[in-house]
Amino acid sequence: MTQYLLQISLAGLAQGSLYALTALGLVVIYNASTVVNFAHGAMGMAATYVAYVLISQLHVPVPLAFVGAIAAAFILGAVVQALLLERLNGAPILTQVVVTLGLFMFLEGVLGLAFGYNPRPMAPPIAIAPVTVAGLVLRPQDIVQLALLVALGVALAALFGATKLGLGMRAITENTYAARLMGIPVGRVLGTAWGLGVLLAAVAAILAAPTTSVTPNMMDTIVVYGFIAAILGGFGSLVGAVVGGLILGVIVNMIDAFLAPELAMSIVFGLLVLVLYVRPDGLFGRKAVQKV
Amino acid sequence: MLKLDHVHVHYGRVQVLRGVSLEIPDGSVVALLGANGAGKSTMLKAISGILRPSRGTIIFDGEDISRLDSSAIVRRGVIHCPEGRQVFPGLTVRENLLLGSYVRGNPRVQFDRVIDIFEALGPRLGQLAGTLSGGEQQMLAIGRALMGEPRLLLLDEPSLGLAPLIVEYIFKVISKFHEHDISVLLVEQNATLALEFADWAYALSHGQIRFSQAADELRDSDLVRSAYLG
Repeated sequence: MTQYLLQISLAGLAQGSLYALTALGLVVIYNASTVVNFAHGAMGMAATYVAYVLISQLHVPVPLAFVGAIAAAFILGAVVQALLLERLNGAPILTQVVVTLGLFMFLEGVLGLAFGYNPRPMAPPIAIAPVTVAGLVLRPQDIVQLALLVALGVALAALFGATKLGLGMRAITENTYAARLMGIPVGRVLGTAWGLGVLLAAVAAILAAPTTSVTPNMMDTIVVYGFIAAILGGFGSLVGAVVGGLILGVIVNMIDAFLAPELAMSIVFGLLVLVLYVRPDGLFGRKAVQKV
Repeated sequence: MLKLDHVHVHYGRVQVLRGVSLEIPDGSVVALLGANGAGKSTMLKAISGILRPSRGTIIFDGEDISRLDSSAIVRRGVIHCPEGRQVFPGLTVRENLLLGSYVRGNPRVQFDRVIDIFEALGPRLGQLAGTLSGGEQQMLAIGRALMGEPRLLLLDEPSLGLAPLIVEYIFKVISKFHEHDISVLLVEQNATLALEFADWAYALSHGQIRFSQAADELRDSDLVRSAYLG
């Protein structure tokens, strides 16, 4: 039984790393621009189509195709920021959110039109058979996912903690007006933040593709769990997004195994309400201090 | 060093500055006086590129900077220390200072210099800026501006809401800027104080310059005092 529980938790952590990566991207974008990006999953999905076209139609080597897709995701994020959101600078936040909702539907529609809604297969990046360690089955794909989460998480922490660009992003979050007075090129820094955020969504989507297949709505469930993970962690905290995503992955996997997969979303939302009831700022959220 | 020539600024459809001309000679302290809503802060924002003039030119060192963005203007050494201090409350004092040199290369030397000027900040480097007292925040705001290695410093209401002792200290620092070839455009509610430190003064009302005069003459002029300075 313990063995079984461990196995389910392990698979849950691997699945949770996708939620965590999605949540990290949401948080990076939200922290810099205070916009909740509802097109997040769709943008990651669009990047996955780039990988798909590169691999199966242009026969580009797989690693190169992934690099290309991730670069495309970064550019997509930066362009969306520059073309859509920069124009809306100063508009009510709700307007900006509605724009991202529109973009979500636009991307799913356009890619549906171009490729149809039939799922297209994507082979796992590493075709190694699972190995058994101490009775636990380890899938290489799961290990890669968790390792990528750790690597990207550390890279983000270093970016925000130890680089000028990261400090600039935090300054814009704190006080955009003062950031401009410091000579920080606010538009360019926000574009970079959006690029990074969407890049993280693309990594999650590409990792998910072998299981979900490539379809216009492949990220719909994952991005909802990404949102929940980010909120659970206290929307704004990087550590919170990672921990929230991992916990969520384990919980969802437990529900799938012991109850019924159909129940997963409702139980998770119930738990979220419960957590927010006890801790309104999430698990790692900074208390919202309002100064008069 | 800086020359505004018939600068007009609109906020949407409201015109705030109506053809303002002003000059700041090298190494001088110029005071900008006027009632609330006269357009003083708007003028600073136009110079630092936060607002774009609808007409007129702003010449800095022979170059028209009125169409440049704020980042390019900061890089030329025009630094705006805003009203209300506007520190980054959730970042440490050290991070606040480093952000002041965002467009500069190695901030080390300037950092030490600023800590030397504002000794009170030294022991507080690791503290969040939001936890500082008002006076310390003002020192941080000015120190942060100095981190940008200004040649022209735009100072908006540095004495606002501070205890007299701290005001005196801060103005003592400002009065030494000319030794470092820093010119100052000073917006100050407290006209008596401003005139004490300024070489030249302009009075702004309803978006237009009403007069300009040497500060020491202005100090003794009763007419001006009663009309504009209160």
